Amino acid sequence: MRHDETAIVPYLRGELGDAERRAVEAHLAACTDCRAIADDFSAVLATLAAEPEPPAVHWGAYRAELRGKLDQRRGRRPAAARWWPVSLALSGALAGVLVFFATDDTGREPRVAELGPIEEAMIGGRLDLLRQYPVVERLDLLEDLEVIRHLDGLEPVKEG
Amino acid sequence: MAPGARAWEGGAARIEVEPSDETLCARVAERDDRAFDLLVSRYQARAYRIAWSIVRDADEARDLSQDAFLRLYERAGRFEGRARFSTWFYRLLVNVCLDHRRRHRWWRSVLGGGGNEPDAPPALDQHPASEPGPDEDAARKQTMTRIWAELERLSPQQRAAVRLQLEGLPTAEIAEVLDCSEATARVHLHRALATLRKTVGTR
Repeated sequence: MRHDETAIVPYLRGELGDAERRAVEAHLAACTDCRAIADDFSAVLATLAAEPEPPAVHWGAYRAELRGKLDQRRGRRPAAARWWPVSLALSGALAGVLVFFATDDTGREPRVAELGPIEEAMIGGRLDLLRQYPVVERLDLLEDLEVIRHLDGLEPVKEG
Repeated sequence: MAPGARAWEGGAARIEVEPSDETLCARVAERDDRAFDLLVSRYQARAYRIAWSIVRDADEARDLSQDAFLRLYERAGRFEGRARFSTWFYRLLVNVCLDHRRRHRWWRSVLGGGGNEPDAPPALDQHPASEPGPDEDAARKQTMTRIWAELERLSPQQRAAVRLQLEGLPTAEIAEVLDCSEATARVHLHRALATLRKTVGTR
């Protein structure tokens, strides 16, 4: 007996022509094994027909995303990206305004962050004077709180 | 009426005919964006569902189905009308998905991921599946869970064949989509169901 099991699915789906369908039917009537396969396949097909749907998709967003990809493929910027010259101009204008206010020195005291470089410049210009002070030789003493606490109590050094 | 065309009566003497898929594809070849949008609207759900059946990941299915539409846009001029548009497009789609899986096979083997799914359709009148009663509902869900897991073990081609069958494609068209003979398509379907059969009975 010839068991053409691959014909069972097309048979169940009603795809076979008359001659092949009759042949399969005759075989199923006589072959217990193939009939069992056909019954099980029928159950599997019915179960699969009730399979869950994939996660839902927002089709509007899907098409918009696809449109963006298509624009990129065609070398055309997506609709949102086509506004970049306007965005750039606005950003430039805003940056210009911010720079103007940030660099406007009129009637303004220097900010704390700007004092460091100023102080360094002033001190650098008077290094010769500073070198005349003996204390400069022991700057580490100024970091000693005990020394600082007794500075006021020191007796003046007598000249000569 | 051309294949794929649909008509409806909007008034006593007015009949509008939607362009067939094949007509829209010809317009896409001429870079008609509206025709492209219409084709996308017609096939987006099926494309996403088929892609999801093969890759079993919603994000990947979304990307891959969109890639298939992009490929459709680029290759619309190559559609010669020798097959139905749906067959031609499904072939693009399945190839995109199978190529994707082949490229990621190594990663999947390393990461232990992967899976797909398939599906199938209506049963035959001569062999109707028994309707589950209320007491059988839990068992039916259990069977579905087992089949769902078993689908992961099928090859991508088998999953695609089962999915396309569920979409209503005849075996001959499934063969065209999978670029194989009808006999091979029958084998894909038979082996897929033979694997899944183990989950529904004691045989």
